[in-house]
Amino acid sequence: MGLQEKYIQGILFIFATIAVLTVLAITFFIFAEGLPIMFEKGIASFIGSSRWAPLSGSFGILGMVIGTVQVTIGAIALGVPVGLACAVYLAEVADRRLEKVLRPGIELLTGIPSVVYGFFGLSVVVPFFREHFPGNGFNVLAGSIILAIMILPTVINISENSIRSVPDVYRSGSLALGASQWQTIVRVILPAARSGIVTSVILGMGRAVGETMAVIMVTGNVTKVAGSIFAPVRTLTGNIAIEMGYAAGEHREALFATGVVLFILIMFLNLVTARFSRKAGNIK
Amino acid sequence: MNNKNLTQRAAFLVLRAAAIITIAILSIIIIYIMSNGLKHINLSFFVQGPVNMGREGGIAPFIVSTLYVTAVALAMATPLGIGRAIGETAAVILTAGSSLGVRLP
Repeated sequence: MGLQEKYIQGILFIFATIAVLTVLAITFFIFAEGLPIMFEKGIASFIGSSRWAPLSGSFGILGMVIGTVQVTIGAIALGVPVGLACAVYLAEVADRRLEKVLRPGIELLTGIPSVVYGFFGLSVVVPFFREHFPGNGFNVLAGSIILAIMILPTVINISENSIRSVPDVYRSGSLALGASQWQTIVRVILPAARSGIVTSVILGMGRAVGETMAVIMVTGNVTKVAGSIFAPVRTLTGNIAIEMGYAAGEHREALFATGVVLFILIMFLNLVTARFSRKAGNIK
Repeated sequence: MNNKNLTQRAAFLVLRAAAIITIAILSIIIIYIMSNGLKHINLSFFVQGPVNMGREGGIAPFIVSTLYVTAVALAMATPLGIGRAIGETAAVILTAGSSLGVRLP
């Protein structure tokens, strides 16, 4: 190998490592900033208390942890049935005309920036709840609805891919045994595509947990634990985004600690996804 | 037999409804944004800065700053991305080549 080639190899190696190093550096920074205060205040009281009063030194993020879980579960409950039905429709049933509108439509949904979803929620969904339901309109359900719309493309695309990757012999076998098309879908195709569908749901959860802007705009951002779906709520991401602008000292560290909790949550979801998509590759 | 077909029809109706709901949501968002926003868009909206705390005027500075941020992000990410892609391609070619007995110059 020539000297020149060695140089090029070295440069390419640096390029390859910079990307990894950046991620590692960010991770290290978040943990280094956030962990000390978590240990100082006690992890149990940090995650287990819902009293968030940064000025008097109380940092309990239970309200935000539960808020994130509530909003995410709501988004999954609303978004996955519609998304999965769309995926089945596109992969197995669709008539050409509707498919022609639906596909570009889903791509458009992916392309809309999250702040536009939030803006739409703020000016349509929130006023609707304010008029017809208790509370001021900023609540868990509004956040769930907006997130459900935002995770639709993820759920539809990945589920549809996994449904399409079910071998055709499964279909023809089932139909040859006298099953109807619908029975084939429910009893044969969906079970065979299960791991891909679960992957799509978990990826949707990841998107819902990580979404910040749209959620801040519609959920009301109160740090208490929400008692009902019509109560305002703050998510982990929202906590960081709202307060980072003016936080200093312990308060700032507590926001980084919030980031640590969020990071662990997302890493956990990613690990589960990786497990399921590995299984998805095993369908024969 | 009849029952089976009936179930299938109902089920397909539900699937079609889901597809229509998705399109309806998208249409509502687009129509809402367009119907509220389009009437404020004219040439001065693109070439003026905000006036009176953003109550009047346009968004020219924000268009420029968006372009700046995007350009700098591209300038930083493109060499890294392409560098990696070249490295990976080279690795693939080298391994493929050696297994075929091909010697690269």
